[in-house]
Amino acid sequence: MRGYLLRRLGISLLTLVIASMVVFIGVRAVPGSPATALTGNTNFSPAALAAITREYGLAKPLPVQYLDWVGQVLTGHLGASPVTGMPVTTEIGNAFPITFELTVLTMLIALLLGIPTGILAAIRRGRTADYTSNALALFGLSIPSFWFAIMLILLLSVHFAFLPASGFVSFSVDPAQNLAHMLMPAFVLGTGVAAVLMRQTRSGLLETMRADYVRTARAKGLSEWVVVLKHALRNSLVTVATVIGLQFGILLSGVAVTEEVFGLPGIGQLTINSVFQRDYPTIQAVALLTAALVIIINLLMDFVYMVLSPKVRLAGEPG
Amino acid sequence: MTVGIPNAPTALDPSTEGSLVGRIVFANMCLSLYGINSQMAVVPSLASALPTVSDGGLLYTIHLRKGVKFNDGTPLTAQAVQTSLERDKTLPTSARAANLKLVSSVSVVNSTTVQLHLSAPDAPLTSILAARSGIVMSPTALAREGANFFEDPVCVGPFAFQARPSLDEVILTRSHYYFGGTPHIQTLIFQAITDPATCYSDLLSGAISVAGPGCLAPNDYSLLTKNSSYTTSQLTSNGYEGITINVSNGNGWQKPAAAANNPLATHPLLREALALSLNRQTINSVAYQNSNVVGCGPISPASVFYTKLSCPATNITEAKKLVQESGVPTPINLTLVVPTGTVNVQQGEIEATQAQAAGFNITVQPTEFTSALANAQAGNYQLFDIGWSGRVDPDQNTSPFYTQGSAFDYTGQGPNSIMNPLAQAKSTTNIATRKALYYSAEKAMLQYNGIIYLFHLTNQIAYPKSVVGVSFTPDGLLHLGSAGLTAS
Repeated sequence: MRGYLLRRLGISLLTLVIASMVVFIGVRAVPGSPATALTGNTNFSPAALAAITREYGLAKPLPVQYLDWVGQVLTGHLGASPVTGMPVTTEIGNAFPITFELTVLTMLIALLLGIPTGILAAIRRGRTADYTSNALALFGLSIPSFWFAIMLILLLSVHFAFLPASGFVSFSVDPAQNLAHMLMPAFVLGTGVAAVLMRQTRSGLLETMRADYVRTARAKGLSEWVVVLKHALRNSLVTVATVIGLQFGILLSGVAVTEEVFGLPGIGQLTINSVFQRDYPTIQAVALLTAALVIIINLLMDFVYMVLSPKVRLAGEPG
Repeated sequence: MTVGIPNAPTALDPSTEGSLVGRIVFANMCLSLYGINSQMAVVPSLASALPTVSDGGLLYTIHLRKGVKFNDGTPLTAQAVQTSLERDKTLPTSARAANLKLVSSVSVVNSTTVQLHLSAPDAPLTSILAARSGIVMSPTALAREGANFFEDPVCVGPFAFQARPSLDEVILTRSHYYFGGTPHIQTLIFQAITDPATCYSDLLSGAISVAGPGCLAPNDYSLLTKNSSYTTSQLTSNGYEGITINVSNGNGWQKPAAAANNPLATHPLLREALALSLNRQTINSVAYQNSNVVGCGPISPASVFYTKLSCPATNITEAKKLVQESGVPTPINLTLVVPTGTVNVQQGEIEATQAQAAGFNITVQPTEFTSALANAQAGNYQLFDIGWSGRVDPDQNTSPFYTQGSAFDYTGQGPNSIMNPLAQAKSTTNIATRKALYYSAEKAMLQYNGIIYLFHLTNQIAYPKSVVGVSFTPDGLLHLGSAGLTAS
């Protein structure tokens, strides 16, 4: 078990280093620099552009720039944005809580919608509930989130004036307004994730329901709901947990389009703006943060597998 | 009151800020020595009168308004003007240094009078001081913040900076020190909305009170003009849209001019043929719902320096003849870089289709803006659809676009027929003389075709009828010091 964990941690660290190198080289491979982005609307003198390039260490050789950055990361200083001048840690500190809250709400909606409908579709296979759940899942999967978002805004904000169309209010400032601003984006994203969860829950449960131990449970005279919820569901959730972990990672790395449509200044918007402005320090920091988060979530999911499935637990123990 | 703007401003430091939207934010919290009125004329703002120019255009004397205070209560003095201008000139990363290049020194005459000493006459200087170069920063805040002035910028204006909680949001609060009276609006928020469809739905739902310049798509603006619940306003800008051709920027803007690897660079007849194949009216009508003003020179009809040019009409027969005369076999394959975005791509596709009739086979290449800019500066392009937001003085809309060594010069060094009148106009203060010189330069540009000018962009804004007192000037700026919301 300890060896397994150490091995996983080692792989995770290596992944993080490789990811940081790929991002570092990748952003510099794209034409233009922070100085170029600044010349879009202002005629900077060559001297000023050279000063900007020097100020952000961009005149140094690439390996030196990389090592400088790694040194900064290890000391917790991620540099300043050439666009806003603000420390990158402040920018991420402002954006991340918004994306985190959106992710949590999205997953909550997805779990509440996806798991029950998945169970219902499995135990009512071939009946109206199954067809309805599948149709809803198909809708959730096939409707582009930006279109769905705009339709909801037109309906709930423009027509009924029920929810605010865009913007963000911090939970600490006004909890009710915060939820009002978050509800629509979380619902838009949540329906897409719920569709995936529904289908995974349905197929996982159908497969488990054919297992011998489920037949045994039925033979013992247990009610169908007890068989499903107590015996079958837990094992079928291993694949669902994988999907939850993956979706959580994707959502945390920023859902740029949804954030843009709803005017949420989260990680997605920060990333897009930073890429357009060639804000190297911010792009690198965001990429490193999201890579680390995805790795941590994957590690956590490994633990969840062990809790959910005795087979995984046993395989992890020393022989 | 929330105002939708199309992008996020860069760091809010008047010395370094370089975005178009930054000007809109500054117009409400950082006034300049001079401003622009609705007739596009330079008028006093923090200065009490237009500058007195003496010593053959080498000395500018500026008198300041009396009793003006910065938003931190510090009095506005000549010393403060001197400090700001010297910072603009000497800060290594200054975006203003190029504009103030000819100002050799700034001296204080008394507490309300400052003098600018020039190394050579610079006719655009007064209009330059009506933009970000003329913003006066609080010396108290400068001493406190230093290079971090952007974190808490303090100037003179109807609103004071309050916070920038994210890149996309700037929050201002009304100033009680403002000499023009306390604004009605308590909190003014500038919200960056990069997607025009979102801007439109935000306006309809009331999430934003004003859709600022560039926020709405032309077709959405067109819909709002027919909606009696909204006030719409459009003004022709000083800017333009055109196709820039790589003629002599073969090695990049920071290297000496060299012919580009491009048939249009070596055959002026082909440039003329391309210009003749285009129908400006159709492009404006299809891609922009006729919202722009067609034209074939860089100087806008909104400018006092405008003289109507005789634009050659679309002439496919003549264009074909010129292509034949050039001796270049057809089809002539070219790549046109257009910034990504629906309207930009539409424009490029229309241009390519029109040019096809004359023998050009143009491939439209949508490219992310900064990448396109980098390639254009490096000379790695053939044709580039790019616009310019425009400045009040025509010098800033012409010279940097034909001067090798300028970051805006994508076409390469212009010929003497263009550069000589531009240089003369820069050193002459007489408006009639300058106007004639710019007309001469524009006619030369029309012959040279380094940039094929298509039309002058229009700035459009919209807001519900419940919003009143919005002032919108032809330089594309919103002034909200007198704005308010009616009870309805």
